[in-house]
Amino acid sequence: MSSSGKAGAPQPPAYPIKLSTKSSASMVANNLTVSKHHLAYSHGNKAILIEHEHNGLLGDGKLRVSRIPVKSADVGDLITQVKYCRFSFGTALVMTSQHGFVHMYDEAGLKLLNYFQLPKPEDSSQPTRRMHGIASDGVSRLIVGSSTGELYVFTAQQGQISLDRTLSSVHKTPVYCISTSADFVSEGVGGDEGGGAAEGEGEAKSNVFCSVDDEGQVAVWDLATLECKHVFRDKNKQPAYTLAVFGNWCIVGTSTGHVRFYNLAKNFLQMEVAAHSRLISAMDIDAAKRTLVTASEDTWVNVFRLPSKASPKIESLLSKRVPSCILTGVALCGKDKSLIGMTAYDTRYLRVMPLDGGGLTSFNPK
Amino acid sequence: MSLLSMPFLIINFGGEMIYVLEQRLHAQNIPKDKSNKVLQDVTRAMFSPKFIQELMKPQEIYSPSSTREIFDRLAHSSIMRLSESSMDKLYDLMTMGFKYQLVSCTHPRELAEVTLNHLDAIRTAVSTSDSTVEQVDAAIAQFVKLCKELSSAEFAQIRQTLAAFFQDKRIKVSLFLQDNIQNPDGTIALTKGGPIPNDATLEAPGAIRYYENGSVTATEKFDSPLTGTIGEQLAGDVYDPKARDSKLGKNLYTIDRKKPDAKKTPAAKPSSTASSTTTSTQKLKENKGSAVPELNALRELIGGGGANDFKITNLFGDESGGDGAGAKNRDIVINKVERATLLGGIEEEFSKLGGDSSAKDLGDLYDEIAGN
Repeated sequence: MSSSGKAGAPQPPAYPIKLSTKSSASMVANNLTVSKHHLAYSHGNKAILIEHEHNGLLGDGKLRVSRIPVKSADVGDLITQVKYCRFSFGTALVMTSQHGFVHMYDEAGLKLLNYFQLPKPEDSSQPTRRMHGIASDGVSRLIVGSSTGELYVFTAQQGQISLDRTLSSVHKTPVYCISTSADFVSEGVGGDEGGGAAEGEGEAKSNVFCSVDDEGQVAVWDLATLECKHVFRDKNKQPAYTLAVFGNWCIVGTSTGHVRFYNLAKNFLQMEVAAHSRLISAMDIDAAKRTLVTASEDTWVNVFRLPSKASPKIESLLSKRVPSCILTGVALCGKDKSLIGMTAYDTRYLRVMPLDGGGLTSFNPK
Repeated sequence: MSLLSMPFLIINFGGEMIYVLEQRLHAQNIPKDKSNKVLQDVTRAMFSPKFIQELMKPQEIYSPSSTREIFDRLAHSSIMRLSESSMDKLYDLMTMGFKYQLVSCTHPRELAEVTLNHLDAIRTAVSTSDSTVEQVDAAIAQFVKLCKELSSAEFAQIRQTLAAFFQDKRIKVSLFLQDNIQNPDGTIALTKGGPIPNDATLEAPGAIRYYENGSVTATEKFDSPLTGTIGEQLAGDVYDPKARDSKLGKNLYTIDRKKPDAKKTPAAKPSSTASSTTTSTQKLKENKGSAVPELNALRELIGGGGANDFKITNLFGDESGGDGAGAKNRDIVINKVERATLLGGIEEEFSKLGGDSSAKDLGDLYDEIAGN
């Protein structure tokens, strides 16, 4: 009750709100992934799954948290990345580990469908190869990166994975992130606005995947033939830990806080945004709204409107600080992808805020 | 995981150990000759050529329990004997001190500066003994050589490996809470803004550049709230102690100013959830029997203390309010001391000793134990 005696409208919370998961996020890049019913991130040697019902992430629904340990024969193995991947048989949760494991679970994390482990080096003094970087073509191909720079291409059918090919011609340093043209395809968006093509920049690329390593080198591959089509090199050889293929662009988040847009149709660096003051750890895209969200270890989240034929400039929509949070993961989630979910190193919360930073016109308290 | 994390872990932990021991030995009114001997002995054990040689080898980072064993041995390589409770608290302070520095680095390469700040401080603490200083200098040279060969990506990997080591360590320290280094929940507080690290590839946020044919065709600015908080770019020299930018790795337990008014200083309250304050040390002990046996080569290289040991039942007695099981469940309370007080003690002791005979005796003892 206010001092005037009239009942006041419920106040919206201070965003981001914190949803306790009791398990902290690891300091690994791209440490939050989302599916239709779950969010997931890595905590040491476990994957943390959060099941969310409609609006549960705003605190007025149920939030169920489960923990899945990595099934590794090696004590001390740690998860390097978890990612939801779509295949023709359904959505699977894929995990990679320090000791060369790839695990594939069902979406709810209840059943281990299959796993693969890289053979250990014959020379025992050599380190085990770390797996990092996960992507799928949306049908039956799973691609995983490694600390040697090799990419492992698997066929994934009915939950079973088998190694198809190893690509070792390009990266010679650890690969950190992989993305395919199937990652950010918007349903129902077609024609000239589909897939990121801006005026005069050529047709949107499809059927490609990109990989980035710790020298900032970005390789562009043909998904069908698995041939490397082009390599973008960073003259400063600064590592990059996150990238996304969206239509005509390969968008790379660098360790220097820059977001780079490489045009895949004409093979050139098209735009660069000085978005953060520290390394960019994760990104997500809503293809329908053409929004890009970036999260960084500088504790800030940025939201940009991506260029289109109608509006060829990139536009900053939001910059929000998440105090004392070394952000490690970001994902657009909730109804219509209207929420930003975030994880931060060493904090036991999933943080959530609306895409506009908190300007809700209505709020339904629990 | 990086195979080069161990030097950063052990040296920084060692530096924090020296800082805390310095402060606590002074606070406990331990005679200067014994305090100085303790610091000399610990430093000589930690910087023995064999130990450093083993430390610098590429290897997986040790588990928390194995790392604790190393520092148990290091602490007892001197004439000092600490109670288990005191050793627990000492280790917890070392843990949180280095975790704060690690998390606060604004650039992966800053880890090198943090470590070098520790090394320089250790060198100062043992400056009364030429032979000990010589050992520290040799270790500094090896460490600098290592750092100069590492790329930014390798520093980032080292940082990530160390971050995994410190994940979920949240022991509350009164001084850190008071200085706003720690949040009330025990996590490390991060300040916003600050200068841009000394790296030509970095810039303040806000610029958008459009390219064509490899050249910038247009530049725009967007309003970044960060803009007003970012300072000038740093321009120091990592390897020059007088020109080093980072202040991380310097002694958190000394002040160059008056102590804050006690009324204004919020007292650290004992944690209501005891397990959170002893997570690191208690869990290490619980897991000791179940951990996979590790070849703790570093631990085996550390010799024991000599005769005439003196025991400290409670290294943190006057500030932590008691020893025993009850004290284990409390936050760690520690205050700062005037820096001049600590440095003055070292110089006074040097003049009394009139030589380095104690160090020579200990060196012989170490060699004997190590089997040379």
